[in-house]
Parts: sequence; structure tokens; C-alpha cells
Amino acid sequence: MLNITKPSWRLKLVIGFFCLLPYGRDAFSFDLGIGDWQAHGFASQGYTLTSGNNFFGNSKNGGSFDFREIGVNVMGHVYPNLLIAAQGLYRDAGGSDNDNFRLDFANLDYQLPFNEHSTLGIRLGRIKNPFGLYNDTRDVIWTRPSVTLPQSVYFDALALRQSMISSDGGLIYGRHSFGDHAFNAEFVTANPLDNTGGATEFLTGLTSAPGKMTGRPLFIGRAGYQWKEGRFRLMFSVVNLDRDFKSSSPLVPSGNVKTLYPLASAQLNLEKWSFTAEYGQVVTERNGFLPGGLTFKNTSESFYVQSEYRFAPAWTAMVRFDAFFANIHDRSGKKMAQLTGLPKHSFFAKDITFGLRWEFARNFMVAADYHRVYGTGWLSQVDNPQLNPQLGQSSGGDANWDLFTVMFSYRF
Amino acid sequence: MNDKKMIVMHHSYFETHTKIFISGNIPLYSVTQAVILALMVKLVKIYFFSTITLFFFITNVGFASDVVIKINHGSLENAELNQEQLRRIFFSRQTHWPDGTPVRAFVLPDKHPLHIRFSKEILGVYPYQLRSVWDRMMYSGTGVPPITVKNVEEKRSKFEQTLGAIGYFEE
Repeated sequence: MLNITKPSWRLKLVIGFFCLLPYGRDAFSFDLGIGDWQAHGFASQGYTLTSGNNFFGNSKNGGSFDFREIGVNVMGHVYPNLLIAAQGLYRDAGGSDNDNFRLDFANLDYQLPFNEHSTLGIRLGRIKNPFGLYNDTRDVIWTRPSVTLPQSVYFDALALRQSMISSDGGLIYGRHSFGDHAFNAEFVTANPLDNTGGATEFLTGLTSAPGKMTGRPLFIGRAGYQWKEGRFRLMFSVVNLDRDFKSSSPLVPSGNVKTLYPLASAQLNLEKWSFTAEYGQVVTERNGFLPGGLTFKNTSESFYVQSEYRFAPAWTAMVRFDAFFANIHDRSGKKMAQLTGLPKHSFFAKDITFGLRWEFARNFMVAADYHRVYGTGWLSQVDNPQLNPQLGQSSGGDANWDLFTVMFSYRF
Repeated sequence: MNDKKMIVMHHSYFETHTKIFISGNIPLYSVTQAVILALMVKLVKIYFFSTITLFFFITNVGFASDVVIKINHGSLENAELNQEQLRRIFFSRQTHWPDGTPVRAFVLPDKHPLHIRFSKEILGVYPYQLRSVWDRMMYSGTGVPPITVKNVEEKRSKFEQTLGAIGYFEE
């Protein structure tokens, strides 16, 4: 399943970048010349090297180039208040994402301004899920603070990722502002994309889950306050999932999964400094999958604190502490280790990250992160079969490991 | 600038008064006082550190110019735009003028000195705040950001060719 060395791809991409270079230097957003229609895009290639465990492909021993994000979009108004936008995305991130090409969003957005201060709007189609500070555009490094987002909150290596990004349905939003103050609220009701990217297995906790996820639509809410167009912002987001798994195999039980993920976010943006923090808990309840009709209940905890420093016009430095605990009542992993026979470090991950980014030419950037990680809590079991207890060869992986990522990106 | 019409408005960023001159069908937005005030504060600070820099700033003061907002739309002859309205336009929340003509905002690259002045002095935000909002809307399909042009010349020609255009200029 995992194609670790793809030299042809690597070569194609490198050639692609060099072909883009002469155009890129002067390219800006493409004004399509019809009304306000524009086209934009981005192409990012990453390299990942780890001292232990695998992240985005086989990153040990020489590193992995299995980290690519390419997108193209088009958008414009058909009527003064009616916006159409769509984006195609190609993404590859080792074992955690090999869906390759997908329709990232394709939505209609209608805005109804009441007066100078208040607006209501509705968005329909495949929409980006509004969640936290970074979820909406998390595949675009230009909108991320570092090569990889804080993994405790924005699980990139886990199979849940695909269904976190976008969903098919509707969103209503409102904004009210006066002077420097603004209040925003968004509410989504949509069909989650939880039959893709291994989300079914992840949600049910089954190694192999032949069948379908059905049931009630997904709810997402996000509301917040912002001062001076984001100089300071405070936000609260919540995802609520209640899904039934209909097994198609007599050997696999059907069941129900409920997930509630509340997240609080705060950000202060000064001229040279930005400070960011997010805190969340994932509450999961599974019924029907355990023998004897037992209910599985768990609450995990995620948070990070981050500081960015724009020390020169094209340079930004970043430092972050990020922590994830698989069970909030067992942060050391001791009880979980006794229960499962896995090492304690499987149930948490503490990550100190130093990042640097350089926009070396207009619309070109290179960014690098160094992570010192203790624990394997958010790693992909596809990329790390040694972490999977059901494979019988579980060594538990490396408790202390380093992760180094570099990404080169062009956009228009 | 002629003396057809003059509006005095409160400019919250510098907490001082700024004059808007409107001449013909092009509204002009001037922040001369604010700029000179800011430069004077800088001058005093710099005086204690470097005489070379002081000289540089003195010559700059001599050429200090106004950031002027223009709209290419005849019916907006007497438009009076305050900071809140300009923010709505340049953060792409207002998509059309009252008569339905699409708003087409043109901006210079993020690091262009005039763009930095416009962001800080007129909108009262840092350029990276604008970029971050534009990037989010363009990569999530939630809005159409302003067009970034290469330089002042391209800005002027695009502005003149586009009905409903809005842009900032140095005069």
C-alpha cells in the first residue's frame, strides 16, 4: 500500500517547479478578466526526516519526499452577493493520506448585508469545515505557522484528517461589527466525508471496517470575537458527530460512534510578534463494537502555545510547545499501558518545535521545522506498523525522537 | 487638490483629525498631518542615535506625500469613506458599490512602502493581517481578495481601465 520510493514523482515535481520558476517571478493572482473572477493555486513539496518512528512516509534512514500539496482554484461573483468558488487538491502525506486528487471545496455563497454593521450569509455545497484557527486552509503552507500544524489539535497523521477538512452540506454565518470590534458565528450541518481516508476504521476503532457510516449529519459551530481585524481574537469551536456504522460483514459488528470536540482558541497579533494558544478535548463514545454490549468512553486532551517572531521583512521564526494526552485521566499513560500492554509513551506526545520560514521571492517560500518529540500518541499506524497492537509485532516505537521537515512552496 | 469640498473626520489610528478633500469625481483622502506627526516622533528618537539617519529622515520629510484613496466610478463623486468602510472594502467584505457595480480593489505587494503606509495609516492594521485574511478567503472559497499588482504604474493603468475600481495612490 505504501509506495516509499517514488523517484519518478520526485523528478516530475522538481522539473515542474523549475518550469514554473520563470513564470512565477512575475506571476500574481490571475485576474480572469470577467467581472471579479480570479484563479489561484499553490504547489508545495516537503521533505521529512526522523530519528525514530515514521511521519509522512518512510522518514527514517534518509528521509521521505512523500509530502506534497498542490491546489488550484477559481472564484468569482455571478451576482453582486452570490459567490461561486471551487478548488481541486492533490495531496500525498505518506500512509496517512494517499487519496491523491480530490475536490476540496465547491460552494455557492450568498451574503445578505442588513446594514453597515451586520451581515448574514449562507454557503452550500462542498464546504471547508470551520474549526479552530487553522483548519479551513490547513493544506496551504502560506496560511500555516509552520510546515506541520500542532499535531495535538490538527491530527495530520491520523485517519480522521480527511473528514475534518471539508464536508457536503450547508453553513450559515453572521457577522456584527462596530468600530474595532467584530463578532462572528458560523454553523455547519453537513454530511461528513467519513467513508474516506480510513476514517471509518479510525472512528469505530476496528482494524478493518467493511461497511458504511450513516446517520445524523455532522454539526460544527464556531463563534468568536475579534478586535481590529484580528489584532486580538478569541474563538470557540465545536464538532459534534453521531454516526452509525453499518457492517457489511457477518464477522464485524455494527455500532454507533459519538464524538464531541470542543476547542478554544486565542491569538494576539502584534507588529513583530504573534502569540497563539488552543485547547481542546475529544470526547468519544462507542457502542456495539465491544463484546457484551460494553460502551467505550474516552476523553483526550490537546493543547499548544506558540509564538511567532517576524524579525526581518521576509523572515519569521516560530517556537511552540504542543501536548496530546490520549486519556485526560491518565496523562502519564500508566493505566492505559497496564490495560493494553503497550508502552506508556503510546498514550501521549509532547512536542517542542522550532520553525523558520523565508519568503525568498514574491510568492515563493521555504520553511523548516525541527521537532523534539516525547511520545508517539498522534503517529500514524499505517506509517508505523510497530505501533499497532493488533499486528502482533508491536514494539511500541521510539519514545524520544526528532522530526525535521522542510517545505518549498510556490503560489499564485 | 481644489477647494470644492472638504470633510474633517476623526482618524482613530493616530487619534488626530484628518482632512478628506474631494475634487471633481475623485474623492481624495489625505493624512498629511498624521504622517508629519509620526515622522516628527521618529525624528526625535533618531536624533539621539544617528546623525546619518537623521539626515535621511529630514530629506524624507521634505518629500512626505499624501496617501490618497480614489474610486473609478462617476456616481461616487461625493463618497465619504471612513476607516470602517475602507476596512470593509479592503478586507473584501463589501463586494459591490451601492448601485451594484462590483468593487474591484487594487493593492501593491505586501512589502511595498506605499502598501505598508496605507495599511498602517489608513486602515490601522499591519499588512500581514490583510494578507492572512486574503489567503484564508482565497484558499477556502469564501471571498474574492483584492488584486495585487506589480507596481504603481500597473496599479494606475488597471485602476483607470476598471469601472468600480478602488485604489490608493501617493500624491
